[in-house]
Amino acid sequence: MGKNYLSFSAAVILQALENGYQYGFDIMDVTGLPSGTVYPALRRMEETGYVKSKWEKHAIAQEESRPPRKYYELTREGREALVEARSRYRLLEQAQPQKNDKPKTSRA
Amino acid sequence: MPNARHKSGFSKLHLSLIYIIGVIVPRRLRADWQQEWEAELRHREELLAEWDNLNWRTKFDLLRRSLGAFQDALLLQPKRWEDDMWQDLRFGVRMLLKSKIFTAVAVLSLALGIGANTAIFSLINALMLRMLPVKDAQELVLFSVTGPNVPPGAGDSMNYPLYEMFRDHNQSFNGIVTGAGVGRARLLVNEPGTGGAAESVEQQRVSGNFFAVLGVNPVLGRALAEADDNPANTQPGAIISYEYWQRRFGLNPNVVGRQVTVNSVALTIVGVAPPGFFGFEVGSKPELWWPLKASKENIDQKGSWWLRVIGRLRPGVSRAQAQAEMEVIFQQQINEVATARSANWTPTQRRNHFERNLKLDAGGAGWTRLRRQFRQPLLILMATVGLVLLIACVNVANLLLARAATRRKEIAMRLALGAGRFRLLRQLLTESVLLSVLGGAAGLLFARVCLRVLITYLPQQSQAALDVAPDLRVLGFTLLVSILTGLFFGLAPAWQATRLNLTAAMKDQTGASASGSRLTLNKLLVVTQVALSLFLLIGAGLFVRSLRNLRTLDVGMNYENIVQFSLDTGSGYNAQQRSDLYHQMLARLEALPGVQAATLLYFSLLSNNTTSHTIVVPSYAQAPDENTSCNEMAVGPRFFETMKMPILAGRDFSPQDERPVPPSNPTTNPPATTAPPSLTAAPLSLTAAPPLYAIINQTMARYFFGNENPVGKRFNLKGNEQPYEIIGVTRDAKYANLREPPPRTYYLYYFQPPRRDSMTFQLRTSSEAADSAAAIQRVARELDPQLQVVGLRMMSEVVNESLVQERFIAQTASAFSLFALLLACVGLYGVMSYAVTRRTNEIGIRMALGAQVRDVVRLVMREVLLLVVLGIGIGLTAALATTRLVATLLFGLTPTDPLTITLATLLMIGVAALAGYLPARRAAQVDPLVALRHD
Repeated sequence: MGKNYLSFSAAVILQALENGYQYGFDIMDVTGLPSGTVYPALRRMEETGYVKSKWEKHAIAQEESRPPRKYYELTREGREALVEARSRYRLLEQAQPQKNDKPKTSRA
Repeated sequence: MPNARHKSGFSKLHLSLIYIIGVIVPRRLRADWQQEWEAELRHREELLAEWDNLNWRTKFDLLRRSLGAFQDALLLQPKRWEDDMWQDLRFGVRMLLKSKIFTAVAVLSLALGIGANTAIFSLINALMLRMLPVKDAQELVLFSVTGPNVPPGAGDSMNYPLYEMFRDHNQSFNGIVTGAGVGRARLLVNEPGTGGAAESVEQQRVSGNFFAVLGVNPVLGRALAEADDNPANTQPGAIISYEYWQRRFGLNPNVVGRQVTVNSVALTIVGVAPPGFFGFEVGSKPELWWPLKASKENIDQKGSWWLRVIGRLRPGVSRAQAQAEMEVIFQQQINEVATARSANWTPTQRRNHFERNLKLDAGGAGWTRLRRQFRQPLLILMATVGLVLLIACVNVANLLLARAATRRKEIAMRLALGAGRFRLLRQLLTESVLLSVLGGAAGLLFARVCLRVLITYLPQQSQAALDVAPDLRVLGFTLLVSILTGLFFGLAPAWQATRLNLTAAMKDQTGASASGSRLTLNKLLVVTQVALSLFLLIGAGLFVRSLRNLRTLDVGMNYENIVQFSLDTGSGYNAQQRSDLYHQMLARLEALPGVQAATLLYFSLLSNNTTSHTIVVPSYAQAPDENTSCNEMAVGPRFFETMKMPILAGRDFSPQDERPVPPSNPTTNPPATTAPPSLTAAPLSLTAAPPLYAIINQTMARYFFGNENPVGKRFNLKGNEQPYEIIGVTRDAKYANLREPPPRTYYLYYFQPPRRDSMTFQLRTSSEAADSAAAIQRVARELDPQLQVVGLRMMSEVVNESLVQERFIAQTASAFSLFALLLACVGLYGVMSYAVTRRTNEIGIRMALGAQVRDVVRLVMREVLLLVVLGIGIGLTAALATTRLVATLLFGLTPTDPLTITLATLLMIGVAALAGYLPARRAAQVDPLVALRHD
């Protein structure tokens, strides 16, 4: 299982998770990948065990009067796969900003 | 998990889209999926509102993203199938467990059908398909000679000079190897001190590049090298098999360097082959490989066709290219031989010589003579078991149809509650595939049993050597057959079952409405079964009668109670000593209790060996292109008495006919050969004048002398002055095999020149071979402790073995066709019972109105016989149209043998009538009162 080679977009998504982006839409924003790529990739990597998902605390959601969001985290295997992918995709590390500024769409 | 719903979102288009798209997400995942998307969209929307940035452009972006959810939902579709499949499987298992008897009967008949197919396919796989355990086996090609007059099997062999030309003058190959036939030889391991004991091992003589070209690396020591295969090498190397290393040397690594002697050639063991390696002869298991040129005999004869040749193509070279290149070399040798020898050829011989071509076939699966022997029977059997499986399928389909009737209400209910027809079809097909896969799994077990029986038809030494264990190909075949079978027998019933008139089906109790068409299908299936099984019965009948014809054939001698064996004398016997040995041996054998007569002969009879010579009869006017070749047989004293072949005119050989051994009789062994006899007969170089004696058979007498008495007449071999005087005429007998008519044959006395080398002893005894073995062994040891008794067996066994092809096909085909008959009758019985049950009501009314038992039986039997007659009609037509395809395997009857066809048809009618009569009788015993209440 751990020996699967990651595609570049999967590696970019893992990289985004490592950089602190946890939600589907945030990952789309920071990677520029469409939803039709990001979600299936997340689901696949969840099955392979690179990624795990949790639901946001109910209280937060209630405050904003919306359903709780689902967020994704890297697992240890996911981190290893990312390290391995970095050695193959040299441009990966420069591809994304660290999480601190607002999503791109906010200024669009 | 939180599951809050927020009403405010429903009005927004992008959120509605998520709910619409969510419909196609598998139910198990749907709630989570919708919640995740909704939360993301709403969160984003709130953020945008907070930043005061919620304009039409950002709204459009949200809409675009929610449309992207569609792709996500699509990619989740396989999960739905997975879910449904598990549901179908669970439900299927429950249904199968619910009707255990149905399941057991269906699985059993499928297991037998699929198992038989697996077994036959395993054998086909082992003999024809399985790749050799060597490097890149698919690159190997097998050399053979084709031509209209090349005897079957002879084309696989080459002569050594031809092999050398192929090997040394080609651009197409990475290497070409050759090997002689695998056979037993006497091996002496030189033990320090003791001198060692001789043992008999399976061995093969091969070219020096054998291991290198096949790409096989020894597990110990080195491979054979070109230097080993050189007559100048005084200590050539040999390779032993891993299994022999284990058995004889206990895996001792010091085996490398040990000295051994094979057929009195000194060799050094230089390496051990990897486990499982057996060279390229499938079905053999050599224990020792040694170089062709290690033995000092002359192997450069262009007339000796005794080697199998296999080459490894260079990458990128096609077989056709290589064949074109090799053909040139082949024709070159043909022309050389013709130039040297054609002076006294007849036109026929000339034509036979030139009408030959070289052919390259895929050689990855190696070579075996078994292939030629078993190919056609196996293909016929494959077709047979295919039909048997078809009959089994039809039976299960019938069972399913009957069961579908009991499930009508369930299916109607599910359809009424909104299950799609496709969904139901899938459910029903899952059930039938489940059945057939269970049948397939059980079939694998049955196949093992079946294979164990089939294997016994192979020659003794091949039974252990041939690897018939199921490999991936066999397992894949079984799986494929199982699934196809399931779909095949499941489709029609499932189609029928889901094509319901709902209202009628829900109300219906026993189902009068759709019964008409369903029973038609049932009956159609029964007709098919009857047709197929009659077809198989006729086929099997033809084979059985052929075998019977061969067995009861007048062979012209009595081969019962004959024990035969040969003596391995090793080297060191010259012609005179050998002659003396045979004399002494015969005398002592005849003195053994229970032995009535003992004699010698060159080839054992009826084992497909022949030697023939073209002869010249001075008194016979020969046409220019007339073939006057006759079979030659060297025999010992009392031969005709031992074999119970009467002398019809003249006299038998007597001890006075013996001539002394000429001083310089060559004792070299000609290499064993399977070549056309005319090419192998070495010209005799005798020039003496006094005639030698010969006895001829009736056919030869008739051919050359008509009604005259041939006794006292003379003939000689073409190109040889030595005259032979005919002293007697014996009755015709079968010679090489049972199928051929007795050829023209003359018998020479062994104790006159030319003395043959190794003769076979034949004893007429009152005991079995096993009982005489010890006594014979003792007699031999008394004469010389080094003598080995080899090939000791009853002649009837040898004859039986020569009929192995016929026995194989007759016995297996009849077993399978009887099984098919049984299946067909079970099918007929089932359908008629079902039909009768459905008509209980009607029969009750008939009986209440005065119908007698006889009338009811007649009513049912009329229907049975109609089905049977229809089936027989179709089966007969099919048989008449196709049996000529097996004509070459038949003996003494035509493919449309009326007796066989009549017997098979009568058997079919008889058994089918019985299968139909039982339900008919049951119907007639119905009590009208009970029947009328029966709904």
